[in-house]
Amino acid sequence: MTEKNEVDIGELRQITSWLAAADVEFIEIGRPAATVRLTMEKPPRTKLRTRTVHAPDDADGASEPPIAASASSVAVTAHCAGIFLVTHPARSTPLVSVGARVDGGEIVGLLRIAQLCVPVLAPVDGVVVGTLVAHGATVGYGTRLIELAPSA
Amino acid sequence: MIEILSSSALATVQDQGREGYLRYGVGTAGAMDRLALAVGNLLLGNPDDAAGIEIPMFPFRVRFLADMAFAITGADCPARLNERALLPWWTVQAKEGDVLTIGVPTSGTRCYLTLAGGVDVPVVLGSRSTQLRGQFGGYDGRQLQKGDVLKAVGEGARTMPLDAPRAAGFGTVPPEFTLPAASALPGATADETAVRVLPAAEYECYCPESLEAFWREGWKVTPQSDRYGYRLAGPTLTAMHAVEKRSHGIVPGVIQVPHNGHPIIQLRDAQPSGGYPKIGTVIEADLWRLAQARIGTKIRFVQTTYPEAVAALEELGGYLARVRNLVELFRSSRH
Amino acid sequence: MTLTVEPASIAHADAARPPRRNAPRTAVAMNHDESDEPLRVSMLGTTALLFEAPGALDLHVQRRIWTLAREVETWPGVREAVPGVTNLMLTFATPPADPESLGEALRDAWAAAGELQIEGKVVELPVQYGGEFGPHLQDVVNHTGLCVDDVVQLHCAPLYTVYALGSHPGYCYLGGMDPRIATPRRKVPVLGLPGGAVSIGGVQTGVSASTGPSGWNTIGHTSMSFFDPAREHPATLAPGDMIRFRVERVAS
Repeated sequence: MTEKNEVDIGELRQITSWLAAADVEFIEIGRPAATVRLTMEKPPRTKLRTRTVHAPDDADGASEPPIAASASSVAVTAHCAGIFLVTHPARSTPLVSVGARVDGGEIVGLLRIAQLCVPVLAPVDGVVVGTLVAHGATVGYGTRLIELAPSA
Repeated sequence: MIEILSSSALATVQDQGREGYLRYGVGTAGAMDRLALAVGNLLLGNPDDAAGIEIPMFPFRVRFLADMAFAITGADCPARLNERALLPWWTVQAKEGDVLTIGVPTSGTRCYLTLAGGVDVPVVLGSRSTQLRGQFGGYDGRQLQKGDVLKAVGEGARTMPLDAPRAAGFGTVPPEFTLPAASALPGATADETAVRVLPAAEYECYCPESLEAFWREGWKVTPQSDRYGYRLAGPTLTAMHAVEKRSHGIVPGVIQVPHNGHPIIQLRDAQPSGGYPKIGTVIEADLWRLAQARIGTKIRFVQTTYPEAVAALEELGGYLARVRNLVELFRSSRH
Repeated sequence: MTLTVEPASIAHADAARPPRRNAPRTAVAMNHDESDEPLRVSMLGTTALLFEAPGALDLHVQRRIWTLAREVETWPGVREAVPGVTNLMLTFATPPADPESLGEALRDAWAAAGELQIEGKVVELPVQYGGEFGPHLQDVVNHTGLCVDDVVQLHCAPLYTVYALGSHPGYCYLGGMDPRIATPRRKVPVLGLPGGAVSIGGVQTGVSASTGPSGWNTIGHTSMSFFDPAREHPATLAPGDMIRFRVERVAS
């Protein structure tokens, strides 16, 4: 398993556009071997907010792969920075619960970016094994959010 | 293109209102919750003056006769596209043949169905809003009925590949989580809507007990409340002397007190002029909250100042501008 | 339609207008509110401002309101200037930053406003009085003590002036009704009153322009179209126009 040292410029563009929209001045994405810090040149429109995000480590301390290492589970990852929501702000029941069967393309979580709610989609059909990030936690691009056991 | 499947729904086509014809006796009509309609249009990338469908009665069902993106905003209604549950304040793409069912809301009382491009009905006197008295504008100047077919502006000109993200859609956090409500008096309960009010010309005509009651009471929204106005139940408001006003213009939000002393909040389909005394005006920035107050719930009037009312309107504008920016970023990042 | 504006202050307006016939004051008065009103400027939330002219409810004041409306509708920030009965409502696209100084500007403009002499058109409306079209004609008879023919004749006699439009599309607030046929508004409004209904409410008379509720006493019916949304100027009548009712039929 190799460590991903290069930073994809497309990913950076996406991250920076989201940061601008959320009026965030800088974001640090920390990994065991390196830290990436992105600073907005323009001052934010509203109050200054800063976020430091650390990509969660694997249990064995190595950096996480972009997608699952094992065939028995698939990690649903964040496609942009935001606040992970298990439940929609206007709802009291979570979008999915452990053991739920989901179809590929189904909404299994949300990312809140300022006033926007963006869906987190199941990449494949499967069964929800667990939620890896707490409701309301700030996540970065690539953070593993939900674990699925793919069907078939 | 959609077909209305529900009968007697009281639904009407509305945009932000018909401005500039008050001097001909033509009121503004327009959406009761203009914020919800605006957000629905923003989610779809529609022009700001695009018309949507205001839905006050449920369940409401439509069939899509063509592939089309749509949004549902306003009251939190359990909505299903075929069997799939939709999230509130959300836009998603429908396929031809899909049936949308909007159920009874758990909170709020009106929701808005917006279509990509906007509802395509003729512009009459500068607006697509329905003028019920006089029967023009909107869909033939009337409420929608079963069998009505509505097209969207520019329908068919767009080709939209239906990929997983478009099928899943996206949405906004409901405004009540972002825009703080006016602070109500202690003792206000969950089924009360607090709205800010500026005193109107005849405010000082009322006796002190009535003024105190005006600000203190939770005024109940009676069943005789609709787009014309909200008739409120509570203590009788008594003027200190007989008040006879000459007929004068009014706007949505004006709180009139007829001879029986029971206040009426004039709303979007109200007569644009009248002669009853006015005790106050609900500020424009809070009309969307009023529009979501259900029959049987209570309204609390909160005294405010002109500068605060102007600031509240600017806050609304700022909120919409931020939503617009975010949505444009998101929609462009998908392509 | 020709317009003549006589720029003048209040004092000059008194001298400039032609001497009045020794007609009853009610020839131009409109309302039982005979008392003089003070000048009043107030806000309707942040959306509109209401200017209430001082003085009696009569055509002289109304003509000055027409002048004021024409002046104010050109002011920046004013979306629409809407005349009422001796008053004017201004609506705004964005709230005025300083309503106080706007109020002062209005007072100044009022002081300078002369009576707008509109030579409006005269429209004659044939009316079918009574019968199925005048369900409340008997109530007017009962209240006034006059017979049906007298009520009809008194209703038809004046040349009514359109003071302003409001209430519903195309509806005209008329001045000039004879107070002898004044009848109080009904306790229970009639729903679904058809367009063309000729009614008396208090000391006022009017004609419904479309189907809707009304608390007035309906004494007859006329077939005129008062509003067409397809026209650029959708209302048939305008402030300054005049209406004369003509008896077409009196049903028993």
